[in-house]
Order: sequence, then C-alpha cells, then structure tokens
Amino acid sequence: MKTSKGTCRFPLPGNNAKQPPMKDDDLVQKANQIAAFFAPYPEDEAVKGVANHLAMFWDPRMRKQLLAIAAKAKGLDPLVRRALDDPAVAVR
Amino acid sequence: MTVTREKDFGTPARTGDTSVTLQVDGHEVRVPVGTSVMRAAEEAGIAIPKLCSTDKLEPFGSCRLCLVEIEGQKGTPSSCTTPVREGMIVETQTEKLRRLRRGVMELYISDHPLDCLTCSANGDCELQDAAGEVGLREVRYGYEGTYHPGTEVDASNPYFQYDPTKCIVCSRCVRACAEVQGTFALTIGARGFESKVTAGMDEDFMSSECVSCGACVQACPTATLMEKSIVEMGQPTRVVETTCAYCGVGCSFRAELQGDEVVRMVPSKEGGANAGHSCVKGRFAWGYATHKDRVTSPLIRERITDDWREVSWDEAIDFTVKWFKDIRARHGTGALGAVTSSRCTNEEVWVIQKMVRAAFGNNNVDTCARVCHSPTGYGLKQTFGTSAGTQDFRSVEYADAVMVIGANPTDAHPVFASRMKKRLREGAELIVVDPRRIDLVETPHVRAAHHLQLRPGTNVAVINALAHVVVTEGLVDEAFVASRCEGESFERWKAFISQPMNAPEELEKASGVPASEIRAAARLYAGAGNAAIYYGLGVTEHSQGSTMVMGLANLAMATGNLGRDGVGVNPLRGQNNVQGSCDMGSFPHELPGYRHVSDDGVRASFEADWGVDLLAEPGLRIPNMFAAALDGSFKGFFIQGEDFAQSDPDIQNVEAALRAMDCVVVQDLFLNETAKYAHVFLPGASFLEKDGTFINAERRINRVRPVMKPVAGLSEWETVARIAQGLGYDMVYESAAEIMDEIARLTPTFAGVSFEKLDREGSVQWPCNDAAPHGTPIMHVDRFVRGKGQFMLTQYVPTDERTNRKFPLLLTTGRILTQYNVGTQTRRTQNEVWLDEDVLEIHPHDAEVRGIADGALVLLASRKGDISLHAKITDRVPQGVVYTTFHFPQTGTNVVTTELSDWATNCPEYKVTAVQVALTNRRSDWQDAHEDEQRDVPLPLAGE
Repeated sequence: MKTSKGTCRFPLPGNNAKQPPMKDDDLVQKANQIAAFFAPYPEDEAVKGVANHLAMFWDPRMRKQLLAIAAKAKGLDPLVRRALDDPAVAVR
Repeated sequence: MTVTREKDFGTPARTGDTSVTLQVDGHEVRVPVGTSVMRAAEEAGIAIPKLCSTDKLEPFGSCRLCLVEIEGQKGTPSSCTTPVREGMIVETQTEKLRRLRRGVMELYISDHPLDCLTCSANGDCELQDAAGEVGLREVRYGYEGTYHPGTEVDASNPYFQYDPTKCIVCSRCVRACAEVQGTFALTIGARGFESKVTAGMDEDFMSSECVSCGACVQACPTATLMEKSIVEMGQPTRVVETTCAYCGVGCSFRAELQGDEVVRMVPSKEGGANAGHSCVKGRFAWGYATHKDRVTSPLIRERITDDWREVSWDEAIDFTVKWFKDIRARHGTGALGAVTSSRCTNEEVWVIQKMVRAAFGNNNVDTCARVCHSPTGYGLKQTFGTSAGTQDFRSVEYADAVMVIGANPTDAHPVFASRMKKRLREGAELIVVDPRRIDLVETPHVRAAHHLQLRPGTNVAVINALAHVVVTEGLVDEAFVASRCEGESFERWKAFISQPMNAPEELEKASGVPASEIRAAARLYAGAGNAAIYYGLGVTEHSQGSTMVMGLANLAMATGNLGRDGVGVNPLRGQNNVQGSCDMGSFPHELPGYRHVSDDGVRASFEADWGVDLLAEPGLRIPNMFAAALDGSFKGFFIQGEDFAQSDPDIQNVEAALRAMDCVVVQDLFLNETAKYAHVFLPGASFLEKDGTFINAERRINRVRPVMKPVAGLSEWETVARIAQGLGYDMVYESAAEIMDEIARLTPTFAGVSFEKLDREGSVQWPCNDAAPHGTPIMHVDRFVRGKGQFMLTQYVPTDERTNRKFPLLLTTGRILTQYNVGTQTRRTQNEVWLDEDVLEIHPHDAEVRGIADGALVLLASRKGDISLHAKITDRVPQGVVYTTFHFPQTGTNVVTTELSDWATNCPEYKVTAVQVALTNRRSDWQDAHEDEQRDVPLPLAGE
C-alpha cells in the first residue's frame, strides 16, 4: 500500500483493514436478524420459522458452524438457540 | 419509402367495445369509435398523404395535407383530426383534393432546400414521399425560400444533430417530447416565417433539459433531427428485431443495419414493454459492442500476478477444466461455484445453473439479483406465492394513484417513467417515498401529492405507519380480504399493525416523516380506486429489504389493490434479465421456477431429464461464497458477466476473497475490475451477438436476435457446455432454441414458451402454459398463486448501521440516467459527455459546516474504508444524507459500503452507510493503489 500523499483537513477514522474470514460473530448476527423478523409471532411458531429459514436458505457448512458454536456463542437470540434443536436444521 | 420504416397509421389506435362502419374510397371498414378517418383509411390499406401526423402522437391537424371529402359535409376536413362515424362516406382522392395538396406542398417546398441527393434523409424522407404522392411538378412561388438563413446546425448532442434549414415546423418533435417523453424540452419559437424548433430557453440541445431519448428524432419526418450515425453512414438496408440489454424495462428495438454493422437502434412500436419509446441508453449507447476494449480471444494465466496469455478456445477450456477438476479432487465438490448474470440470456443462464448442479455436483449457483431484487423474490413468494411483479406496464394507464417507493424511474427506468408521467399528467395522484427529492416529485405538469422524505433505513417504519392508518381508520377492503386472503393471517396482522407502536405518530420519531403526511398519503392510497405500487432498490437493499417487500404486499392486499388493471405491487427490475436469471433457477436454494431444491418431486423431474442425481441441500449465496473463499473452503469460481470488484459492497473484502481463490474464471466483454483476480478470461457475446430471450420486469419474455456472429467465435452457452463436458457431464445443444425447449419442458410456468411462439406472437408474459397459452399480463386475478394471500408480520427493526459522532451522515447510493450500473458499457460510449465521474451530493447545510464548496474534493469515509470524490451541493438530498453513484471504478464507491445485508436473502444494505465527509486534497489510499494497479495491468499483446 502506498503512503498517503497530501493531507486531509480533518482527521478521519477511515481504515483499509482486510476483513477476517467468515466469523462466528457474523453467523450469530445473521441468525439473530432472522430471529428478529420472527419475534412478533407466537414463540413456537417463531422458533419453527427460524428453523425452517435456516434449513431452507443456509448452506450446510454455515448451519454446521452455527450448531458448533451455539453453546458458547454470546448474544445468540434464544429463538435461534431453540431453533437449532429442530431436526430440520441438522446437516443431512 | 425506406425498406426499414414501420407502417405508420397516422393517428393512435383507439380501443373500445363499440365500433362503427364507414366507407373509404368505396371500401367498407369497421373501426372502434374515436378512430380518425386517417387511421380508418390506413387500416383499409388506403394511404392518405400526411406530414404532421404519426400514430405515436395525438392528431394535430397543422400540415393540411391529409384533407379528405366527406359526403354531406362541407369543406375538406383534415382526416387526422376527424373522427369516424357510422355510415360515413369518405373520398381520399379527388381532383379537388389533389389540387389542394399540391398547393400545400408547393408552399412547403418553396422554403425547403432541394439538396435531396446529398441529404441524410434521402430514401427515408416523408416530405420527399409526400411530394411524390401529390405529384408535385412545379413550385409557383419559386425556390428562393430563405431556409431560415443564419441558423447553423446544432451538433452539440453526441448522437443527433438539429438542422433548422430542413424544418417544416410540423411540431412532431415538440409533441413527441411532450406527449411521449414528458420532458417538454422543445417548443416552436417565434412566429410566422421565423418559427423554428427551440430547445430549452433557446439553447443548444446539450444545454437544454433534453434527455436525449430520441423521440423527437424518431418523430421528425425530414432530416431536421437526424442521428449522426445516419449522417455519417447513410441509410440502413436491413432490420433485425431485438431487445435492449440495459434496464429491466426490456424495450423492443429494430436494429437497423448495413450488412452486420448497426447504423441505428430504433424503438419498435410493436414492443410490448415500450410501445415505440426509448431512452438515451438503449437508443444511442450501443457503441460499446464494437469498442476497441472488447476482448475477442480467450486469455489464461497461472497466477493473477502473471501476464495474460492469449490462447485458443480449446486451451482455455482445457485449462479451466483441469483447474476445476483439481479443486474438486483436493477440496470436494462444495469448493466450486458460479454466478450468473442478469445481462445474459435465459438460455445462457440456464446452462450455467445446470453446469453447477449437474457437473459441479452442488447448488453453489447464485445471480446478481442477490445484490438487488432477491428480497422481492422472498417477500412476494411468502405473501402472493411467486416471485414476480403483478402487472404489465400498460396497467399504469388505469391507475388513479401511484406510490413510487425507493425507485427513481426517470433515471433508472426512463421509458416506463414516461408512461407513468403520462398517466400522472392525466390526473392520477402521486406519492413518492424517498429520502432524495427525485425528479418525479416535481417535473413538468406532474407534482407529487405527498413526498414522504424518510430517513434511510426506515422503510418498514413508514409502511407500517401507512398500514396502521388503513386498518385503524376503517380503510380495509373487507370484501377483498375476506374472499382472497387467509383470514387467520389477516386477523393476526390486523392486531399487530393496530398496536400503538405502529402509529404514524410513534414511527415519525424513527422515520422523520410527519404523521400528518403519512395519514394523508394512506388515505389517498386506500381511497383512490386503483392504487399501484412501483418500487426499486430503495426498498430491497436494506437489512429489512424482505420485510419491506412483505409490507408492500400487506398494504396492497388490505386495500384490495391487486388482480386487475391499475393496481398491483410492481418491482422495477434493475437489469434487462434480472427476472429471467431468477426464473432460470440461478439461486442456491431453488431450481428453475422457484422450486426448492429439497422438493423430491421437482428434483426427480430434473434428475430424469438431466440423467444425474441432484443435491437436496441449499448452496452458497454470493456473500457466503466470499466468506467461504476466505476460510479456504471455496476455491473455484465461474463468474458470468458480473463485476464483483466494483459492484459489490465492502470491496476490500471482495478483493481479499477473490485473491484467496485457486481459479477464477470470468466470462465478460471487457477486462473488468474482477478480471484482475481472474486466471481465465472467456470473451462473452454482446447483446448484438446473442440468440435467446430476456425477461423484463413485467415477466415479458422477449426475443434477443443476433445481428452479427459472436466476435469471439463461440456463443456463451457453447462455452459453458464445453466446460461441463470437460468435467464429465454430457451437455450438448444444437441451438439456443433447443435450450428454451428444455426450459419449457422442465418449468411449468414456461411450458407454452418456444422461440417459434415468440417469433409468432412478439412476446409473452409468464405464466405461459396450457392454462394461459398467450401468457398472463396480470397475475393473481381470481386467486393468488399460493391460493389465499398471506399477511406477514413486519416489525420495524432498526439497522445495525447507525450514525455516531465519527460518522454522523448517512450515505445512500444509486444510478443516473446516462450511466448504467458499473458503467462497463456506458463508459465506453459517448454518454460520458453527461457524466464522467461519480460525485457526492451533499446538502448545503452539511457542506457549509464542513467548509465544503461546490466542486471541492472531499474524503468520504465509513468504518469500512474511504474514497475521495468531488462534492455537489444540492438540497435534493436532505440534511444528514449524502448520495453518490457507483459508475466509475476509479471512484470505488463500494469501498465505503458495508457488509450488512437483508436478514432473509443477504441482499446488501447499499442504501444505508454511516459516513463522514471532509475536505481533502488527495486521493484515498485505496484509490492510489487502484490507480497503480490500473497502470500495472498486464494486457496481452495483439497476436500474442
């Protein structure tokens, strides 16, 4: 990377850092987003909705990773935790 | 008359149940009430000389050439302005009429240069034709007309010129600009002999508000307004009917040619989507197809730091196959994948998803709809049962109220916008929901009743507030809901949406839209009669994109605005074949026709036809592919016509992912940004070389016909089929038509489609099958595809992207009229005269507090990265919001956008990025590095 030339009038916090690979946090964030959508539904229905969504749209390697980290994942929505018990989420 | 001109009936067709019978020159003809005598005559095969009339414009009656005699009627009325009546007896050729017409022609010709042999319109001049038809042999007034002396040719527009000396002041151009395009850029200036066509405030065309749609040029009967290509090359000698390859409107065009060389593109009157209109891109910006940057030979290299090597097709395909086999052997079948392009034909897309499923052995196939309309697919399937807009474009002509949400049709879908503006000028009401004041908010003779100028990221808050008003003020169409929708889902939704948290007064805090405006807009939409929703990426490209689509569907169902003309939920698709690429099953979870891969019956039908076992598990989406590339489980990538390294969010992450791969294959017209990370470059075919079909935003399947052979020697589907063969799957087709036959065989909604039918009927809208052999213009007429409509709960969840002290502004991105997406095509045309760099729109207040002057270089920074670009101060954006485009790779707009995406589909949240803006005097580090890369790109030498 070349050194910057010239100056910026205000110091800006821009950065050009590389993204790390598929992170556990990213998976948790995406799963929690799904839970947030289904949250207004009755709980059992919401759990089923999350489970079906994961089963229908997530590649097995993502489901496998989420299942592997769920126990120790911080901030994972309780709806997701319950959904992961659904056999539909398991990698076939 | 030229061999290429379409038949012109003189005045527009009228429709209606009542017809009348009249006699024209002794021939009986029956036409709908309201038809002009001129059109009735033309329909009987009797041509009446004319100059000021054309069937794309309402009659004007100024040229006095189309006079006729009508039994029992005094005088010689103009046939274009005289409506037919029952029993009318018309004479079009009498001595009196001949004498009158010759007299009129003498006056025209006395003030018209007689340079016919060297005139660019020679062979395609209606004045010349009319002179011949009336038998003009002398001009009693002499030929010394002044031809408007001192007036010079206006060649300011890059694509057409204006020569006032050739003008007959028929006003066709002025009327076309007003009636068809709706821009009102032209008028007739001065009076009497001094009358002339005037652009803007008597400016040249480029300085005026002209949008270069070409309608005036098409309407001109002489060489006054003429394409420069015709001036330079002469008249075309043959025509091929085809389809534009820019936006999702899918305009039909007549490619007018000399041999295999395009002379001009003229919008086809028979085009179901465009009805003879066009925009600056489709009409004029096709020169990229023969641009010197086109790569016409396959290229390979072992490492992305190596120079490219020009090789034969055999070597390039063998190289690809070797790498893909090696990756499969070392990393398993899941390590390969592909992305299809919405710029390519259905047939080209079909073979790629088939290659992935049958030859790669997985479902790792996605399409660029991932980053635009994938939430439309999810949202409309949940609520209505299928992933498609509900109407045809014509439907807008019956709308009483139009709600435009997160779309900028005059820039992004200009031909449909013209149709919509026409209806708005007729009196339909308009509601615009957009953070920016798009042109549609106030444009000639159109003003939005409500502009709901919401904060970016709060769409769902607004749609919930609108729905809350509908439900709590008793505006629900109870009969529609009772008969067409699931009662249980409605009752649950009704209870949810009625909660105080969804009241406009509460959600105003998030959206910034005054509750009173929301209430008024909701009442207007619900009470209009026919209310139609049109939306774009401002709806989908959010972390709640899918929720918002469902919110739109809820609102339409609750108010009964579905299943007939003038209503509906209409996604304005971004690219020419977004609809088709989705229909063709290029999704990791769906086989063609939106059927899930886990459906055993559906999979069995493909397995039987294709002779392979198919995987029942979903594959990787595009963002998942990048993540998997970075974690080492995704290694081989076939990329068809998609420029991830410019178009996708968080570019530095994309670049890192592409660098991490073992074999990246790019199939494209040009060495784009993504090709920097490629090991194989397979030259693609432009739309002028393709044979196949595109599907537009109204589900219309249009033919794309080749006007020349593929410049690289191989069509794209042939290339893919050969790679599949190399990988051990026997994929063989004789023609694109054969691929469509397979599509029809395996996809119920396409069961009745074939090239033969499309050639016969022009186009059809799917579903096209035994139940609807001629297609389906409007969906969900008697029942929804899923049976009963399903209301979904749409709780507003704020995006994780928040402004803070470091990043206090919100960036939203979009595109403009003259450039197209990543600009791969339009940057290689003269459209650069309108815009040659991305600029940052910033509100005057936000600029002032930062000391930013108009045109200043500013640094735009987010938590992801920073870029420099020039500022444009405008109150088009509200305070706190900045806006830019992503047309130029050197800008790197998507360096700034984030990894956040829609909860259901991973569609990126392009529309909401927290940023800071500050004056700078330098390019950003990324831009410096990018510039160095550009200089260092190892291009193959000619013949190497």
